[in-house]
Amino acid sequence: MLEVRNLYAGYGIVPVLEDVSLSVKAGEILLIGGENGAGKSTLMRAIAGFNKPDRGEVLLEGKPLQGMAPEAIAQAGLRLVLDGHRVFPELSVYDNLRMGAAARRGDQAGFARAVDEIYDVFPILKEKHRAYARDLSGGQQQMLALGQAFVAQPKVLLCDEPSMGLAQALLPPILSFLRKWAESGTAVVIVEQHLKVTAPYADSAMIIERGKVKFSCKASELDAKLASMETVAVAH
Amino acid sequence: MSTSKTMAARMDAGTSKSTKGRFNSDLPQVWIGIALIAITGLMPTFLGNSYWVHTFHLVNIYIAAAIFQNFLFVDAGQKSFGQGVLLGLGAYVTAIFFGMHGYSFPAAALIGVFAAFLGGLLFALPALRVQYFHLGFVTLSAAIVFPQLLMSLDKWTNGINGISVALPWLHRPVFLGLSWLTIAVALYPMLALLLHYSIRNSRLGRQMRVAAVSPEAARTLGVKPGVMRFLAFIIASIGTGICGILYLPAVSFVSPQGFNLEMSFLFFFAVVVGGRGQLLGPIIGIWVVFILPNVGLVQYVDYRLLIYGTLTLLTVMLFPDGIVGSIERWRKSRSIRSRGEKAFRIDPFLERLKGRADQAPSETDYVVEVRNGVKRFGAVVAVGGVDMKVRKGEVHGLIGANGSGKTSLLNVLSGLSRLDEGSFLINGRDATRMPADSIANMGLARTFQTPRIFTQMSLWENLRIGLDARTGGSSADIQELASLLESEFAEDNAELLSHGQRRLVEVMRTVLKEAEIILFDEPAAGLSQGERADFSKLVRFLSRNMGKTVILVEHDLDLVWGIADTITVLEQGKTVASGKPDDVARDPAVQHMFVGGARA
Repeated sequence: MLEVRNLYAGYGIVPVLEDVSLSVKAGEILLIGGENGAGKSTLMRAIAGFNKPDRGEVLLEGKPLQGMAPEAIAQAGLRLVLDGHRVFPELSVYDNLRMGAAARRGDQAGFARAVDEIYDVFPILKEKHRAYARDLSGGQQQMLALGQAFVAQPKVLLCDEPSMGLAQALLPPILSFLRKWAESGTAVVIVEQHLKVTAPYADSAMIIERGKVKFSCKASELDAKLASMETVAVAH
Repeated sequence: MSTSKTMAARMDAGTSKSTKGRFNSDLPQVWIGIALIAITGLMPTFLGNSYWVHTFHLVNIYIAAAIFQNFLFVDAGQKSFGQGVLLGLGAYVTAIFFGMHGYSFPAAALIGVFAAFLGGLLFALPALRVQYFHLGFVTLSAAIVFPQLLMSLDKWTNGINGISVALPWLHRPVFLGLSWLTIAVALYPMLALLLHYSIRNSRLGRQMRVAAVSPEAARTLGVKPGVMRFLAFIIASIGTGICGILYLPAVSFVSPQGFNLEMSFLFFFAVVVGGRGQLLGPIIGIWVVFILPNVGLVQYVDYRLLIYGTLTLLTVMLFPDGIVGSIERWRKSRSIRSRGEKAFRIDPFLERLKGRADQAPSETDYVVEVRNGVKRFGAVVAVGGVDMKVRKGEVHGLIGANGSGKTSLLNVLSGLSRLDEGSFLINGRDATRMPADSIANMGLARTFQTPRIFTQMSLWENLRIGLDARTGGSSADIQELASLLESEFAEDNAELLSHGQRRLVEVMRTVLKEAEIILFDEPAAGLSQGERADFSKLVRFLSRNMGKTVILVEHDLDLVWGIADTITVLEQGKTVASGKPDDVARDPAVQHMFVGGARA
């Protein structure tokens, strides 16, 4: 579904990513980890068109996306949920969800169903559906941002640190929600620091270091692989 | 892994400096500016061209006024469209006392500066209440009214006829053919430039810039944003008033038409065209928006305002950051390297912190005490009767579901919002009604969920505002830490930091402040495993080696249980459990918070 080939990107002439490739099939979750500043968020932003890749390809169902404007990429069916809960503070919770569906006009029934599903996973959003997004706590805004992406029903979902600012107990339900979402035919990429908690929900995993892919593996092997690298590092 | 990582990071810290360019070019800009003013100010005299001598008198005076506009607009964040009024007040009042009432020039000039100062007060007062457009409108209306006022007060101002003054001694050559006036109007903008540079690099200037961007963050650093605005207006008004005094001998005549709206716009446009905040900007800006229409296109002089507008529009479209700003942006993008994971980390500094020996939390001293605190937002009860006691020197974890009132409680404790009922004490003093800056100056510091990073400052300056917020001198350890941080990050760009690194910068800022009580709002969100471990070590150090009290709002329960001495659990704004970590973990009211009972 989503394929990235030999991507180079950065800010101005500052290179951040070098030669990053990845692929995610429909129905699968790819987990991306790595230290802060390694370039994970830059990768997400480059795929979604917020900064223009210097080289390389981003393919959605085989069609190239690189060089397109972010809104055109969103229309094509790729959705990025940024860290630091970006919602529209001056709109109500419900209107924020409606904004999420702006890219798929005319499907009222589908929208209503999607909203119900969101309310099922995050009952607090239902309870506060009339409140302004600015009156939500930080964690609730993060839930809303996820909800916004969900009602858009993208083909590819990029999720930058979904756990940021959320109570720990909420992470498993969010991850199983993302799992279900993926299984309905969406390709999902999750950037996360909580690798241990997240890995069981993912299919494949990838660690980024200094802007390059350090390794990729099956998600089930991630733990072992990280542990073995740790012992190697200590032995040195 | 962590050992090897630490060593690698330290090695990198030692070698990473050679590739870095300057973070900002303020100082070179000052020297270029001084050279340009010297050339344009003095050369016409040497060349014997009296037309250019006169033109550059005016140009240099306007440059000085634009420099103060730049300072007010960018460093203090105050958008004034009325700086021409202040120049006019300085010029007119001096002319009235000197030309009409026979005061000596120095005495009249002093009164003129005083008048400009009063004008600045008049602008500063609305700035305490209103900001942004509203302040713009207030100052704009002053600029519109001013010439009308000069006309209608003709009993004092001579109305439309204006006032002529003669100061021949100022025009007489004294040195290499230069007159006092030429020397004064060339020196003054140079001094203004140096003043702007030194304010910007002072504690006051940094606090001003913080207050301009985030008044909230400024208050938690012990700064009153209102005082900052007020000071900025006073400095700018006196500086601009002196421009008015120099204007008088340069033109030898004042009339109401000389100080219309156009003049105020000229200064504002010059700043925008030159490049907002760039020290060299006002010089280039005045050259473009004043010299071009008034000298180059002199036959169209009636369309001056139109030309100013067109020039500004064109420049802003071609160079969105202004002329100097665009060059500066280009320079930065060439010279600045991203340091990725190493852009900011705390582990190389952790081991250098020594501190004193083991300091156990006090059993009897409470530094924070909340008594039945209630905070409502409309119908929503964010904090509903919280009681909490924090012992001196302990790490106090504050946990709870999203929306349980943790951040609201931190906002109350740091003075950003006020309790509706109940009270709280800090160090035994009732702080319920205290403003945030007073609480900060009592020794409290905090971080925010969305880190307050100031991208116009270098990474080191971003940390340094923590030092600036101190109320006393810093301990030897912190001084050493500060100089390490300075040598490492003085030329680094904070804009490229990742979200997690930004959090750590804020954390380090509170360390530099050496606050007695530190509130962390979700400091570990977005941190990697390694960074979490480093952060835990740092918190432990703050408590055990430096005797600081830490209140920690955090969702990572493993981290909280790893370092907290006491844990308070909030649910829907109420305390449901509080006590030692082990006891709290066994509390049935808390079980549901853990992932599959992982913590128990």
